[in-house]
Amino acid sequence: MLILQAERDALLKPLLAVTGIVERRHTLPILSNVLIEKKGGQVGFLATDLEIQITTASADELPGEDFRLTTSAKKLQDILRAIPDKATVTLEQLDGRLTLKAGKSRFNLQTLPAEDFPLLSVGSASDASFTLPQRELKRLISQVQFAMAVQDIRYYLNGLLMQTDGNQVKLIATDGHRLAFASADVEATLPKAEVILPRKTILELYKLLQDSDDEINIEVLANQVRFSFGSTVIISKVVDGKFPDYNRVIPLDNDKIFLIERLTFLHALQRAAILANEKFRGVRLVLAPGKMSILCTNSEQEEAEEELEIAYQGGELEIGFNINYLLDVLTNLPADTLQMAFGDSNRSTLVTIPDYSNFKYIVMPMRI
Amino acid sequence: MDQLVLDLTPTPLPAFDNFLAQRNREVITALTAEDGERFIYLWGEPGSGKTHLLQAWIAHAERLGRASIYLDGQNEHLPDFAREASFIAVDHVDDLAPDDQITLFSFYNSLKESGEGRLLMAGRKPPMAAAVRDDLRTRLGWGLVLEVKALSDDDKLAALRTHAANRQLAIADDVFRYLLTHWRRDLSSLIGMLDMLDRYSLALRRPITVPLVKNVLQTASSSDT
Repeated sequence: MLILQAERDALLKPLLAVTGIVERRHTLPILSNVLIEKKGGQVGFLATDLEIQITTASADELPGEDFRLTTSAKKLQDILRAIPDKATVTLEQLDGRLTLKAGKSRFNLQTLPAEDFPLLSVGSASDASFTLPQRELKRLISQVQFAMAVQDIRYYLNGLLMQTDGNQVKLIATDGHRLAFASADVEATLPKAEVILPRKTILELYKLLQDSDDEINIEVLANQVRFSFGSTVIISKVVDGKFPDYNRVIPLDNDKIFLIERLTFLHALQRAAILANEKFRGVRLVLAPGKMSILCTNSEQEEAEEELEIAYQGGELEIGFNINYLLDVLTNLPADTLQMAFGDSNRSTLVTIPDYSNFKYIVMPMRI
Repeated sequence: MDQLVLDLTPTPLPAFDNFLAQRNREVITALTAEDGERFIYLWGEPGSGKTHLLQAWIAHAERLGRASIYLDGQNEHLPDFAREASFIAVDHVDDLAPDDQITLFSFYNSLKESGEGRLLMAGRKPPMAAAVRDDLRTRLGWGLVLEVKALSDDDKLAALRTHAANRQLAIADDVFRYLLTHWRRDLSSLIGMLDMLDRYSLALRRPITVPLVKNVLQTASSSDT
């Protein structure tokens, strides 16, 4: 029985939007499937890993019967990708099998009953809800996401803290070595709420956000957060844990301060990084009045040295860092000029943007 | 080069509610009683939790809004101004220098005369066996004397688990058992080691496992000697 006929991209685009979260291996076989549901003219796609659930719908109305089925997300995606992009695809369903035809190609896929597909039960009404342009949220996430931990035993670090308070939304990420903070004003009066969004949710959301002024709605639910934008809805569980009070790690009395052009500093570090030790990634910064030297050495005793003129009149300082932590912030910082504030070689360094309080980056040094 | 880490999780301050009270309920009751005995002497073997109790008592006093001071006989002289505090805790009485024993004796007397304030002392031995001046020794025994009972292994395991949970560390139980059998057995050393493992694993981005613990213990014991 013919159930659907559409151009390839009308199916592939929404399919790709949901399949990013599908795990390759899972104890529940149906979780490697995607749920496809046609109601009226709309075809909806849904995937989940039991922590995150993404739904989206085809952009256009499509002809055909109503149906609900699940089939392998990966295989369907690979097939659709491999056929020519303007080709017309037809789907037929018979005896629990799905047949996909395009031109002279024919694929016969297994299905599993849609009733067995586990759906997240959506948490109760939202405490905090606000709207941002997608571009704005994407920009905020890009300023902090690089500082999230990866598979740390402290679960609360494997994600991003989202705080709402009044008309402010704050995002904070830390892996214990550095911490990134970004905030934005929203047109709402929000209750005080905080949730830790899992790393995977953030990476997926970031991928799906468009560089446009179209809005995204964010709702904090009980133990969940819902992101709605365009026809896509992401529902994610939040990390169960208490995020540390990040204010206590922001150094307030660092007195070795200067301004520096972001790109000048970034390029000098990128050149020096070529000879940084591959394992430890150490870089030494040597401050003296009027100049900063950047030194890298690797295990083969090769050396790189850069010298930058800086408007600095404070005391001398030699301090070590993991160069990647500096490159990360310089790459993602939303400004041309930044302020470096050093304390001493054992204490954290603060990176900020002059006259702008919506971004902060704190990085711990390496002991040289 | 060693990566330094952000101080994200503050070390919890000693308080009565993070003291394992099962065996020492009586002690906590005596210390928190509103009009309880004004002179208390705690004794017990090292690592039984006396210092913790003294500091929890000071925190308790501060919550009550009373001027309080904690003095450690092991590494400081007792300052004379301390007698102005209304809650005075003197730790490690057995290690007090002879001069400080006299100072403590005079604290005792002035508190006794004034009829105000409280004095909490702690030492390793019961009063009669305490290695202090005779006059001070008798004073130790005049007030309420309580033994702080040492923790059992199960208590220690429970304390380690709670400490790890408070720091939101996912650690398998075999790590705690390994620590208990391979590291110093008093709780403050064990908790201190757990904090060290926490920092170490954060700096190296490694989970806290038995192999990691072995590694750290080796370094720690070689730097000790």
